[in-house]
Parts: sequence; structure tokens; C-alpha cells
Amino acid sequence: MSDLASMAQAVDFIEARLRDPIGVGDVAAAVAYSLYHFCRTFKAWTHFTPYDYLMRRRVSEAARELLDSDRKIIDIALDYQFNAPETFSRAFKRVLGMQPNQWRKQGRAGYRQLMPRLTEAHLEHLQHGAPWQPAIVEHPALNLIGVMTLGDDAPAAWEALRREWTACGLADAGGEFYGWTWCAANGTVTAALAARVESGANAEAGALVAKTLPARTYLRVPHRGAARNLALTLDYAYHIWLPQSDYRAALPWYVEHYGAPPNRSADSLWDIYFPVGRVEL
Amino acid sequence: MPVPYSLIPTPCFEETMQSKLVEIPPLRLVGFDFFGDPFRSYGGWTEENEIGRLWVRWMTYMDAVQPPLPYLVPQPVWYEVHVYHPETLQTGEFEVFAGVEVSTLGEFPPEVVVKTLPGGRYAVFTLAGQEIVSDWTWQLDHEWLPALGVERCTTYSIQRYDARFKGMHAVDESELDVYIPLLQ
Repeated sequence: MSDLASMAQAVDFIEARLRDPIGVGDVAAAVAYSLYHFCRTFKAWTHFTPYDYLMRRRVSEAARELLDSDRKIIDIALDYQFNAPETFSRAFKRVLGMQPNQWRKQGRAGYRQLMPRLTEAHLEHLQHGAPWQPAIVEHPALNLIGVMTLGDDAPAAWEALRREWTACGLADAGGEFYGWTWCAANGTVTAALAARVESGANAEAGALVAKTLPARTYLRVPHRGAARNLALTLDYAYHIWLPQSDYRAALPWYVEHYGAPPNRSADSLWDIYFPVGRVEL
Repeated sequence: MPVPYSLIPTPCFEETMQSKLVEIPPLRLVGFDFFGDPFRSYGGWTEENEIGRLWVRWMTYMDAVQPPLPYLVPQPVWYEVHVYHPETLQTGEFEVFAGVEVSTLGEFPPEVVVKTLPGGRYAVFTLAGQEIVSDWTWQLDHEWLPALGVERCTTYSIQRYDARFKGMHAVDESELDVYIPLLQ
């Protein structure tokens, strides 16, 4: 069996036993690896240590249950193998940045706060999207003018952008195209396809909308591969890279920067910018 | 030096695999250690992970320390010891020690970790080339040791590096001995 198949099987094993008293040794044995080789291989394929993955997934599922039920916190903690309230609180705070009772009081999960399970598609993307070279960057303010879309990169959206752009007499955007996707408080996701303009450009005409992205700190992650795999790169940024860094997502939106309209081939490449803030320790 | 007391023919192993059972005296080592998941930073085979960084830390120290550490055994042999603690199977975290052999447990600077490994009966396997980066521990537990009719003490294992090991960049030309403590 390939390492990919074995690690996908290991993830399946963990996911089926989040409420069971399993350890890393059990997972390694289930896929016929020594503990040492398993830890080395699991990290290479998932970017998590096996124990960290297990803990994060337990906390995420427990957090979901805290919102979906009125069971006692301690009962949910015990269900997910946290054998003391303090242990649960510590793990919860580490993963979600707050105590379980605060989370329940908040009443809903924030934008991409809960870590989803990894799939074989994630593992393949993590390998083939490599080398991952995320960077924390300071980016100046950005003035964008574009059209609202359904959040995809369909040719029709690009055509609409060009048509409106030309109708407004705006200059050639010179390859500086952007996609901006944001999530409203009620969970609705909205997107715009836009081009960069100098400040003060007229955006009042036609169906164009204007947005100014603030100057601030961003995580920049290259997306390599087909556009349909964008969700996998977003999961990488929100659920793999950021939680293991000193930074967290600060706002519920991200911006894609295309050198040109993205194609759907397997070797397309563009950058995604996520507004982030440094974790207060 | 290890004293082989029996050489076991091992026809069920790959042809490159060499094994023997030896009785050795206690091993006195000095070095640096690390406890945790050694692949927290990087998985796969890279000198950037915690084990690689431990070796860099130790080698840099050995080159720089003045006066040089006393009681060093003159032959250029390096040891990496993996020690499993009670929580290891739960968390995947264990101790990794990197160091050299000393003849006497004298006084060493406080930053140096002194480790004594029990003498006794060990199975010694020589790994060659790609075997070094394979899951040899799994084969050890499920093929090699059962073939020898012995059981191991699972709390620690020793990797012994000498001039036959050319580095991870030349693993195909390298050999490495692993010492597995056996239940008496």
C-alpha cells in the first residue's frame, strides 16, 4: 500500500474513533507502521503530528456539539476523551482561543473556525501543491473595481468584468486582476471579480462595485493547481498553516491575486492573501 | 567493543541484511537530548526536523567546547538513542539522544546529558542503503526478531554510526548498525 493510501487510512481510523481512547500507537499499528516511521510519514503528508491532529479534531467536534446540544460541557469533554475539565479547557483554548463556556455563549462558529477532517484529496493536494511557501507580508491598501460574482471564475464573470470595465472607460488593468471573497455575519459568502485601479477612479457607472482593501498584515499563500482545488488551499491556510503559526485569521475574507485570468489547468498559479493578526500570548 | 557470541544465519531476510546477537557491557554516553515529537517541524527525511537540529546542536558544541570533553572514546563513533516513555504510545512523543561514548562517568559540564545504557544481550542489525530510510522498526518487530526467536525490550533502541555512514545525502552508500536490547 502506498504512503498516501496508508495515511488516508490512518485519518479514517482517527475520524472513526474521536470518542474512543486511542493513542498514536494504535493508529500506527492500524496501518502497519512502526510508531517512529508513522510519525515521520504522517507529518510529511498531513503537516500535522498525529497527536496534534487527533486533539484538534476532537476539540472541533466537541465544539460543534457544544453549539448543537445543551449537554453539560463536562459530559461532552469526557465523550471526547478529555478526562478533566482543565485538560479540555486548555486544549479548547489552544485550538479555538477561548474557553468552552465562552464558545457556547458565542452561539455559533466563526468564519472557518472549526477544523474539518482531512480527506485523501487534501493529502494529495498537500503533496502536489508543494513546495508550500507561505509568507507573512505587509501589503499596501488596494483599490479594486469589479463585478459581483457567484464566487467562481467562470468565463462569464470575466466577460462581464471586461464589458463593464470598457463601458466605464477605465484603462487596461494590465494583468492586475483580483478575486475578493467575503463571508457576512449570517454566513452568506459573496465574491467579486475585480481589477486594480488608482485611488479616485470612477466606479459609479454600470454594474461595477468598488472596494478598498486595507493596508495591513496578510498571509500570502500560493495556490498551485487547478482552480477547482482552491478549497483545498483555503483549508491549508485556515486549518493547517495558521493554527501552527503565531498568526490567526483576523477578518472573514480573502483576496486572490491573478497575474492573468486563471485557467483551469493543473499547473495554474496565483497568490491568495488572508488578513491576519499576531496571536496575543 | 561488542562481543558476538553467536552469528545467526538469516535466510529469510533480504540478502543485504546482516544480523547477530551480542553481549555488551553497559554503554556510557554523553550528548544532548530532546523530548517530544521529533517531526513537529518537518516530516519526511530532512535534517531540518528536531533530530537533525539536535545533531547540529551537538556537533557544533563538540567542535567548540573548551576544554574538550574528557574521557571520550577515541574512535569516531556516534550514537542516536530513542527512548520510549510511558506516554509515548499515547502521544507519539519520545526522547531522542545524540552523543558519543565515554570511558568513564566523570564530571561533565551541566549542559551535557550523561546516559548509561544497560549492558546485556542485544540483537544487532546492519542496515544498508535504502533500508536505513525504510520502516525497518516494523520489519524488526514483525519479521527479523521473530525469525531470530527473541523478544525485545521496547523502551529504547540504539543507532550506531561509524565511518560506514556517509550521511543522509549519500544514503545509498551508507551502512548503519542498530542495537536492540533483548529481554533476558
